Amino acid sequence: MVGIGFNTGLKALLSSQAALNTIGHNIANMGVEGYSQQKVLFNTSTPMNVRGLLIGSGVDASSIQRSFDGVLESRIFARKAVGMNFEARAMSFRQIEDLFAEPNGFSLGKSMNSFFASAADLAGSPEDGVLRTSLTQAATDLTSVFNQLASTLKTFDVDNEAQIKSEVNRVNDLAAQISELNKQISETEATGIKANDLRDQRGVVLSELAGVVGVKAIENSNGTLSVTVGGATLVGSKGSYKMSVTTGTGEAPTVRLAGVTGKIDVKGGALGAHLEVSSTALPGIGTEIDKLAKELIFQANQVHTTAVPGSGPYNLLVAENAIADMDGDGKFTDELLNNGSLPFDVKSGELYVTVTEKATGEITKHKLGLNATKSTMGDFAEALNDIPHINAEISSLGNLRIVSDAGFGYDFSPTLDSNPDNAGTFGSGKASLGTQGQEPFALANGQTLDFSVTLAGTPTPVSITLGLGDFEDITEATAKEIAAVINADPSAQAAGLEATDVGGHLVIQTSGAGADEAFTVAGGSALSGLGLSSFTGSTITGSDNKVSPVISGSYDGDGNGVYSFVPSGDGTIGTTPGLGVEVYDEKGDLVVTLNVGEGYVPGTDIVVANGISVSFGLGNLSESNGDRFELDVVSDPDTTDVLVALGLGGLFTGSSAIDIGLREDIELDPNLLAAGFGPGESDGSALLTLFNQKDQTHASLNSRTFDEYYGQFIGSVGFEASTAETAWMANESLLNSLNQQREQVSGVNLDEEMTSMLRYEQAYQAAAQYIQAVNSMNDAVLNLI
Amino acid sequence: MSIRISSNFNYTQFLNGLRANQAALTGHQAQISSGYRLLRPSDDPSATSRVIGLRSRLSHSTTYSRTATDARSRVDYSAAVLQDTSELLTEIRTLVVQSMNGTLSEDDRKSLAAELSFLRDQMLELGNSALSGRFVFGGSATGGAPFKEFTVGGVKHVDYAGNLEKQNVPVGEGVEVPTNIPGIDLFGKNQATGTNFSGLTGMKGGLTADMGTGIEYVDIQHTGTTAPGLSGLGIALVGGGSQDEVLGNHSLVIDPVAGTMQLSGGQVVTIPDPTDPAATDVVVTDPSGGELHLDMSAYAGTAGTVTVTGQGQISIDGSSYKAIDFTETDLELRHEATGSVVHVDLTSVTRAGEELVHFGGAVNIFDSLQGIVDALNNDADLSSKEVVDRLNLGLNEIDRNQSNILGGIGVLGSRSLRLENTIGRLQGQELNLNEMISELRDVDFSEAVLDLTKSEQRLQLVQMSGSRMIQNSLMNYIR
Repeated sequence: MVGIGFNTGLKALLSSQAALNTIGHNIANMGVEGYSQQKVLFNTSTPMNVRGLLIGSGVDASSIQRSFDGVLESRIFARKAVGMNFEARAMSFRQIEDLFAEPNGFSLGKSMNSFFASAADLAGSPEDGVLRTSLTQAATDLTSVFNQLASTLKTFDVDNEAQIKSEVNRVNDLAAQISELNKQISETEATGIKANDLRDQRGVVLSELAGVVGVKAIENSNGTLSVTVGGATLVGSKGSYKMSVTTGTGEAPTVRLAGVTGKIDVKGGALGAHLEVSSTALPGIGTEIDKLAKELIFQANQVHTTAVPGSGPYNLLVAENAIADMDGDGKFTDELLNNGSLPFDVKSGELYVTVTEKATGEITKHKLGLNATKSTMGDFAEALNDIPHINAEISSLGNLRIVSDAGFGYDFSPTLDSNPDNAGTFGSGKASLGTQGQEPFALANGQTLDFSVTLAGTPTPVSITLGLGDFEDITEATAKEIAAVINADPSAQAAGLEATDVGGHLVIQTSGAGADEAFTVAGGSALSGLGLSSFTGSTITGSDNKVSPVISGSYDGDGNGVYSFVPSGDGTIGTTPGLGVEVYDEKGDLVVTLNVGEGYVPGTDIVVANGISVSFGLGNLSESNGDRFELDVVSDPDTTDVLVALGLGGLFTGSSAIDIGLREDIELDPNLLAAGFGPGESDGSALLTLFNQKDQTHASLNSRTFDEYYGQFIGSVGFEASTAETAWMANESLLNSLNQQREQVSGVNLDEEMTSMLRYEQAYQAAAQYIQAVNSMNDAVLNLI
Repeated sequence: MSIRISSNFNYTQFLNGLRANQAALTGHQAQISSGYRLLRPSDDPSATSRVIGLRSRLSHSTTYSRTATDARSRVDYSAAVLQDTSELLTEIRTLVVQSMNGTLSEDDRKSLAAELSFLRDQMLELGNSALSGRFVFGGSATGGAPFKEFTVGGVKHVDYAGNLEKQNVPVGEGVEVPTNIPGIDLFGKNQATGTNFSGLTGMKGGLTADMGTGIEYVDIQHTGTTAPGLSGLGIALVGGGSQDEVLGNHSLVIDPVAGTMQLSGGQVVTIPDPTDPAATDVVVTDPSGGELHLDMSAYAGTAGTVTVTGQGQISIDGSSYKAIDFTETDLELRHEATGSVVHVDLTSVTRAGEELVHFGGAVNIFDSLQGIVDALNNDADLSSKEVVDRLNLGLNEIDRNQSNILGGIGVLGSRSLRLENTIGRLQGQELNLNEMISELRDVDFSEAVLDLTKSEQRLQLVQMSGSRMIQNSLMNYIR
């Protein structure tokens, strides 16, 4: 009986002590993250049957339990992974948007505005040296903002990568900790004791791990935890697996796990956010800026390459962009212009080259055709070389170099040839006979052409034989081929008889002009093929007067074309009633008929069409003798964009944000800047066109203007940042309320502990009193002895 | 059973409250101190996009209004120069009309010529006006004076060295206003009307059209006179006819009864007494003033009608002469240096002299003024009538030029007005855009201050309630 009493008292004492110890533990760990309040569980001891009485034997402290809600914990750590992901994302985008310094800083948008504004200013006064410098300054500012943005983005990328590496290290560290705790917990719990504190610790580590990488965790029956990332095991029963980062130049970093081939798809946690920033967000932003820079370069250069520099036509141009020897045969000439090595595509179309003789200001226009799928660098250089006074060569590095002969210059402007009758086939005073019909001419091998040219009063025979070898197909002979045969003939050369191709018409004429010049069509079997049979025996004479048509104005029509000017009727300008000049376009449609007969005062301007006027001098025109001349009318002198692709006379160099730059020689000498499409130091037409590009939509920018595109892009960066931030904040409050729930279950309340403390303190005191009572009972019995 | 609140939760809650309210307070403070509501794109992405768009439009507007203001100053300057030109032309016209008065002496005319020559130079200066180093009447070639003076064969000419380009300045999206009128349209040729002759020699336009851009002088020289009928009357040609001016066939009517002679209906001349010393050189003139010198000292006193034929040669450049065929109806004269080509009908040429050829409507104002000055100086010693004829040709050109100049003033005036309206509109637009940007981007201060005060109060409340909450503990009561 007494034994039971002591025993009961002792158990009560010990239980209270255990309870008090746990309260102390709770109070001590109140501030420890992840700590769960612990409670001692008491069991009433098994009663004893003492003489038919079932006497209670006190209390047993059976175990110490955590107040813990597993489901809630897993929700919290999942939230945490999401939260850290949003936070890392928000922080990254915040830094990215700071790079753009919008809307109040010195930003790309502002420097774009000031570049275009400077262009407009200079367009008004292109001769103003100060404004020229301020445009080159604005252009330099713009390019440096692009360069800076691109390089800061790159730095940002490098920093981000460093962050990824340190996060991977952290993952490995935490995984190792979990694995170690797993071991301890399973060992502890194998003995049947709950490893409360170790579990709490593991919970903390797991939650941190979830924040870094976003994991799934499953508890095994032995108390260990298996952790997976993106479906691959990070911590398993045998321990943790090492995570590593693979980086490569130009490639976004990827994450791998030991024992798993291929990359691991990490989406959650800070690491997930940083990986996504590296693989998607940053390249995306880089692409957008590059697009903007590339389109700007393209548009500005398209204008600039076809304008005339302030310093006059070019003597030397070296292509900024080299063509690469893609097939590796050591030759550049066989490389297609579109072999992929140039930053811009070359399209099928035509390029007009204008050659200016500097002493006289006389210009000649030449048209080159290019085919996007067939033309090679060699073809292009050869076509340029075929132009008189122009020499093109390809350097050993693949850069095209175009040089003009001394005394000549060239440009690619749409300027009209003001004296288009270079050949003198339109009442120039030469004795001249042209075909009415156009090529091809059906001729035959061995056919002849015989003339008699009056040289200083003496008839000089010219006899020309057409050979098969002179033609690609003699039955479809071109005017150019026939002209070449005539011009190469020694008898024609001796007699001063020449031939020219004027838009597919063959014109035969004396080399000199004047009333003394004459030749007679003696005969020949080729005459009928040329449609000139009716002239057999006729004498064609020259004249002292020259019609010398003069073109003025600038072409404002659409597209490029050719105007052919053909007289209607024979007679003298300003004199013969009804004498007219018919103007045909390249399709052969009549544009206008100009009255140049009686009533026309020679030398006065007549409006043709589309901004072009023409004046005719005093002279004789002959429809029947086949007078005609052609005028190239050009609205876009380079429909091929080959100049932009090769970087010949552009404003900007480079093709992306990182390498965009103002052409160096322009920066050094703003006079080289091309302000106008035409002559005159105050021609600002090119700059005006450049300025207007600002308002135009561009296909490569999703049919938006520069500003719209840029504004939307900045908006989307801001939107990403604000969405991430909002999501982070929302998640934070969710996490807050989950934490509150967790605190409700697992948190330590000091007042509560205090209350329990009083309770067990009193219980302890009572138990002590009880033992004393039992003891005195015992004493009483012992005293009896 | 009420909700269990852990002590930790209390602290965390308190801390969160402090943080959130402090962040809000700092945010409001940053907005107020910068004046911007939008500090970064994420503050309001769509507003930021709109601000960027509006800012670009604002940049456009300010660019346009700057270029329009600049253009307007240029247009106004050109208009002012033209106004001066017009006034100068009026002055010149008055002087020219004055100098056409037949009663003026040669000296009077010479002094008027000097004055007009001075005014012509002034006119040239106006044509070469430059605004801050930029010649306004040169088209787009503004680097050099558009009107250049040069001398060909002793005659002063002015050539247009500018071009016909218009200088457009953007004043709105797709709207461009030209700021210049090429000088040649104002001072130079405009609508050519055909060739005019001053009429001294009686030459007329030929069949074929002419071409030229100024004035030319066709020199017709007398090379010899034949009059076989004279010798029978005892009359001889002075110096073999070397002093004569008459060309072509003339008829000399000698009437001894009246004692007079008359050449082709010209002025009636009294036959002097053969003994009179003056009889050795009697001058008879035809209606155009062409002189025939006769030695009458051996005149026998018989009546008669004699055919007098003058031979001559013609040249436009004063160096290459062609003998005159008086049946020629379409003689081509070509001035290689100036490029002028004139076709003349010589059938009615009656005398030698320098014929003024005026390419009507194609003469620039400087050349026609120079023509007037040369005519007034009258170095060729022309008759008063011929001088007046030449002045008349010049006067027509002055009137034509005056109307061109006035037209130019009208065009520039309307451009100036248009630019003024544009500038006004642009300024209004700028104001609007600024307001719109400000609305999106800038802080509404009263609202911001209110927000600041509110968050300040909230923070204070959190601090107060938190500190009180923390103080509550059971421990305060356990002794």
